[in-house]
Amino acid sequence: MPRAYLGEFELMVLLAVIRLGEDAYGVPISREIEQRSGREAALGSVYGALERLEEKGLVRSRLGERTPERGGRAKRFFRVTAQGVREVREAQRALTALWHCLPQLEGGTT
Amino acid sequence: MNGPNPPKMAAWLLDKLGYLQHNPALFGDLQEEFRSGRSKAWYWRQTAVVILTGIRANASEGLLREFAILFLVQALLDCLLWRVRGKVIMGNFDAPGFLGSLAVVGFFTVQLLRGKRIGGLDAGAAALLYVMASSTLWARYPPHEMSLTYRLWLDFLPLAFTFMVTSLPTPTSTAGLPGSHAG
Repeated sequence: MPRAYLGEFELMVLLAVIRLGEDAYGVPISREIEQRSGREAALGSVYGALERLEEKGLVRSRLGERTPERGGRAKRFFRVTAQGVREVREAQRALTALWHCLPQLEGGTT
Repeated sequence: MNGPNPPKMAAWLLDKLGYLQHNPALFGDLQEEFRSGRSKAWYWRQTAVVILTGIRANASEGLLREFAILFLVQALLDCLLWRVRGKVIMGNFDAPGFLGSLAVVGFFTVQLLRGKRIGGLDAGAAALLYVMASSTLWARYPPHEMSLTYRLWLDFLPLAFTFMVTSLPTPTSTAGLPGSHAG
């Protein structure tokens, strides 16, 4: 199967899904990204990324129960697939290799 | 459980554009967050992102065409109202401007009736058509005294908007509306 290249935001969403485990649906995924990265993650963008990840076979989704506080709408839970885990590891390996001994960043940020 | 309701207009917009039916889970999330204390401005921002994400993801599908149709109806009404107002208030009906706008609307309508997707090139062709039609007619029927800036804003801004919307890049994936396929 060809590699599914991940964009930065897709990678963040995928990592949030892994961190949240069984509780991974739109709201906590968005909050997780906001808390960890300090950057606002709009729900529409999160769902857009999740949709792309699902098409690449990196996550799977299922519908939960309908709840009144959500206007009777069900939560949609996401779970990372084995291929998704492989892609995350590969992204980590590639980024670490690129980061390693980066002369410009040694001893400062300039 | 009862709680504050999201802005009606935003919810109506999302419903009418078809997002509510395509992805109810997203709207459950929006409502959950809103009831947890988010502001109406936050809800509006989220609505804008949902719509823009949807437009981009569906650039090759039907939603964009619906937007184009909505725009055209609005542009036609704007043109008609403005020309009529010009006639009533200023006593000078702007025939060249009106006919130029009508040519643009007619061009788009023919494209839509032929089932063609309207793209950036079509919008450019329509703009050119407008300039040619108006210029030719203005030479014969000089326009009234309404300022040129106002005329440009009124006639070209909607065209620029159409050009911008129809030229949005399509993502490499074939994703539909954000999160539209429930598993």
